[in-house]
Amino acid sequence: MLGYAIRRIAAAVPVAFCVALLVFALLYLAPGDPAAVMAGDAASPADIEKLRIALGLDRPFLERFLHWLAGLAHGDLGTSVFTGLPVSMLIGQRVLATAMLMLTAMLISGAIGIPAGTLAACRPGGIADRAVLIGGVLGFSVPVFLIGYLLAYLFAYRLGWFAVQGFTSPFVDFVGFLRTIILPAATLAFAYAALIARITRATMLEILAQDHIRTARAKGLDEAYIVIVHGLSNAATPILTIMGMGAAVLLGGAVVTETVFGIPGLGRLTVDAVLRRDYPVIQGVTLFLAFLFVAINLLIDLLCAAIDPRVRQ
Amino acid sequence: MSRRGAVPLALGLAILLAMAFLAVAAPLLGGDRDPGLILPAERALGPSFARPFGTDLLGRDLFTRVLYGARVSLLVGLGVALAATAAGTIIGMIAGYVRGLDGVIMRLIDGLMSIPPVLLAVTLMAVMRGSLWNVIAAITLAELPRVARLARASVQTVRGQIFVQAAIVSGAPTTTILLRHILPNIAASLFVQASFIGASAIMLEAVLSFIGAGIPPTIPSWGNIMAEGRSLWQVKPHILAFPALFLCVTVLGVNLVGDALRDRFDPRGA
Repeated sequence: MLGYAIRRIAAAVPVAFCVALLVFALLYLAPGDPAAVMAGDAASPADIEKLRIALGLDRPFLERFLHWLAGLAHGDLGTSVFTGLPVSMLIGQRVLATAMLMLTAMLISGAIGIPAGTLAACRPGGIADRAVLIGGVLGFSVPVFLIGYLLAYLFAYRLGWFAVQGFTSPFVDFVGFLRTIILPAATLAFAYAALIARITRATMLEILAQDHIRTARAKGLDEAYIVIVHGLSNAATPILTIMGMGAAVLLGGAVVTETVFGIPGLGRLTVDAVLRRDYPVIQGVTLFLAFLFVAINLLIDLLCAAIDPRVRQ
Repeated sequence: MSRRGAVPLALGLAILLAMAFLAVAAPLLGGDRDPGLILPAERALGPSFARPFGTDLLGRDLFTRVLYGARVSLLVGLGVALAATAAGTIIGMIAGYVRGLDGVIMRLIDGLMSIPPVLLAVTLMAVMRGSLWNVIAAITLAELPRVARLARASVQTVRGQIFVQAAIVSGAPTTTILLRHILPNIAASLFVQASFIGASAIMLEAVLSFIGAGIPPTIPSWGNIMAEGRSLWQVKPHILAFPALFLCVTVLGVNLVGDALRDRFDPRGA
């Protein structure tokens, strides 16, 4: 296990480096001139030149990249052009809302997707199976904002059960937290639950057709016991792996969901930074979220290896 | 094909054909109305017989604008599906065939894949001026890694087979092997993947425009119309609802076609 963990972590290092290189290079190579865009339409060429030197944009690529990496190593992601605050501080202020949103969405999706996919696999062609198939297609076809506004219109605006906008920290007011988080989390969970249900169904169908399940049935074991203990425990690894890959859906969906529900999270921070052309913030948040994605998948791979010895080979 | 798969495929194709027709015929169906025509006296009207989808905050006819929006969405979906599949296939084939380059290319692809597509496209749009072509380029780069991975894996499966070994032994040039022997064998799964990328690109364009980082607001696209309706969604939900519905149906159509193609060509891929 330790050997596997070391190998897996070592494999994540070059990926993380490539992410850093790409995030930096994309903003460097992109055809626009950040200084010109930042300075605005009214700026004179001299103003733009001054800003370019102030931002260090006149230095060669490698020098700028190494300088940026050195900053990263100290946790320095640069300074926001718009607010003048350190990017790491802006991220720190926003990370709680996004983390809570994603965790709640993961809980909701798991609680719906795994039982639904399991039921579907138990009776192929049955009601649950059809529901999962249809839900799977809808989950990937209905845009996040449509679900978001629909839920907000019905349950927040019309019925008044939940808050329409905003975010309350769970450490300040837990009831207020639930009132603000449930609708956006359900919105975000829609596509993710469809993904989980789909992979659970496919994996369980394969497992339930295997010999050891037939043996368990022949022994006269209870069907629910067979499905949960012999079936689901074997399905844990593929389901977890897909949940990790699908975290990209959650991170991307958070950008939209936070805009719809006015949640001050990292997605909203990205959108605001893009609209203001605040490049250091865009760079910092993108890198942070990409590293988060790499870390989630690393953790899940280690978890899979801990659960299933076959993964360690 | 089984009869079970025929119904969704027909439904999906019917939706796409209908959308293509609406997009092409937008100037005729929209009547004499220009999608940009501003009528301040007719601001934010609800749906009526004369104006089936109502008007937006500037008094522009939403039915006309939604029809024109179909042009943007279909163009983006088709453009990205073609560009991302072509570029991803070339990269993936090189990585899968030329062992010396595999490591470097795949680490970069892994890195690109670690940035969630929405975020990558948003970031790219921040540095590029908002235009239809830049939106297509940004989404293409965000979707490309998935194709490259699939192409690489498929090439590695096929290259071990005897007919490819025979071609190598007979001294066929590498490009011939790749194009004549390997590409036809991986084309089916790439084609299926391309349809899903088209669906995802249409959605991504709407997201970009919705948050204000996509197509310029002067061009009516579904995402732009929804962005304009955002401020009044509680009192004037129709401005958001109609473009969202069209988006939903179009993406559903592409996904139905994709699912049917997958069941036909690539039954094991999930």
